[in-house]
Amino acid sequence: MSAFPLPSSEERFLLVEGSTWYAVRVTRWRISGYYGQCGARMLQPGNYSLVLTLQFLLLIYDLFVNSFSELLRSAPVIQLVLFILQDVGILFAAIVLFLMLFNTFVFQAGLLGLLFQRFQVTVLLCALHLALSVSLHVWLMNLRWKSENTFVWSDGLQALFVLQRVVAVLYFYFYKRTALSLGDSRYYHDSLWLRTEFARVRG
Amino acid sequence: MDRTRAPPRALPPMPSTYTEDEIPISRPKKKKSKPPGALEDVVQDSILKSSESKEPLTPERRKRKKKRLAEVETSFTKQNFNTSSVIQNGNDVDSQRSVEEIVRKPRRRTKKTRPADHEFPNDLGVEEEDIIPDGHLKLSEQHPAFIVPSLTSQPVGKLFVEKNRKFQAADRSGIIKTTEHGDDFLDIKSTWSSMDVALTVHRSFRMVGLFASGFLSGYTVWNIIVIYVLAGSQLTTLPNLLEIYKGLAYPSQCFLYFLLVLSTVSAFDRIDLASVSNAFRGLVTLDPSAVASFSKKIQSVRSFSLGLLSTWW
Repeated sequence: MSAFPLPSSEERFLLVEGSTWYAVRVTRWRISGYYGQCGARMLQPGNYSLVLTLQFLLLIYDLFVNSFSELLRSAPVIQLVLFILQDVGILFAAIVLFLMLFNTFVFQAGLLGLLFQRFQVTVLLCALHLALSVSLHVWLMNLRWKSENTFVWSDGLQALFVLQRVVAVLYFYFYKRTALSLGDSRYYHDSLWLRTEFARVRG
Repeated sequence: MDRTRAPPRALPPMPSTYTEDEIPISRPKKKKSKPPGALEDVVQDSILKSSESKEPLTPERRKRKKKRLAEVETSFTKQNFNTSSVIQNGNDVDSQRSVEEIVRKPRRRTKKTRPADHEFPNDLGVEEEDIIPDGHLKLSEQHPAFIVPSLTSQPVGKLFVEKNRKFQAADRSGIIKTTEHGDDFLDIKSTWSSMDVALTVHRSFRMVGLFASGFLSGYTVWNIIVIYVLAGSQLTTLPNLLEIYKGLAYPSQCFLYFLLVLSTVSAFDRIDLASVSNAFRGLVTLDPSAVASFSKKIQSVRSFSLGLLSTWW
């Protein structure tokens, strides 16, 4: 893979100024990204804004369900739908995060260790939050589906509830931080930082 | 290779108005000069002999063209043929003028014949130009181009763009606009990047977090006051509190959780929890943001664990 930029377009002009002729060749160089070579390209601000909006919407929905699910339990079906959507949302957020990671030049250069080292907390919290949410929702729905308006809070369920809420806060923080830091242009092209990191990882 | 040779091929069309005027007229005349055995052929032969003495100049021209070719290989090159021709004039302008006076008549003839031989001078190869066909004086037809530049140049507002290996006249303003648009695009790209988007979102979230923190503090104060007022002094009116607060408990706890999460995330942002050493150092040195985030975390755990039990009905 070449580290040099490729010419993107070339135009030639013949300019006539009175009796003077100028032969002009304009070559536009692509100085960022490796378009057409390894598939990685600079992250466009528009695309990034779209992805960021989607991620924040998923986080807000997750937070909303975590906060107000106990209020919206006039019928168990409503809560069931809310929980299913929340779990699907968490899964979808994780998929979007992984797609963002796959889109980086660091990943395509094969420096998986570097990426994992940087975002391992987020990835682990994603998995943990999903697991805790699914287990809590299954437990709660199991207890509430048969008998509404009864005290279902056993010690185990309450511990799981608190753990899930605490992990959710950490998940929100780390996910937001990762989504914002993935907008850094350093992850999308070759740079001195990347080469240093590569040398450090190899050395 | 063909593409790189194309710019030098632009040379043959003579820029001087003199030649442009001459070429259309010369075509019919050229046919007249064709018949063999004419007296003019004898004159041409004599010119050929004189032109042979000039032939050593052609390798020089080749070298110059190669040099130009190498210059054209660079990303952006302006080739002012005027200057090169002026330099050439400066070298032997006197001798050329003297030669001109001698071969004025034959030169016209060569001009007449040339367009008939090559109708599209742009399609000529570089090497073909340098070959003198049928003993015609090649150099003499270049001379007007080299003399004319001493006149003042005037812009004609035309731009010839290469399309399908031919230069075609194009609107100058249109091309300037397109290049300006390209520059604008590059400027936008350089000024507004994905990092700026991330920073903008981060700043706006800080504002939201700050607002949530302020709202949370006011909300908790209101919550405490309401509970104490409803409970009365020394908890004398506890049934009154339970009756009234029963409906408020769930919404207030849920809202409290919502605000707590927002302000906790904002506090984590401020102490940069991801770098654990920094966060721990801030906590040990009693950094206000670190203490605030820690207390918020404790408060949220307490709220989750006790809130549900206290509000269950």
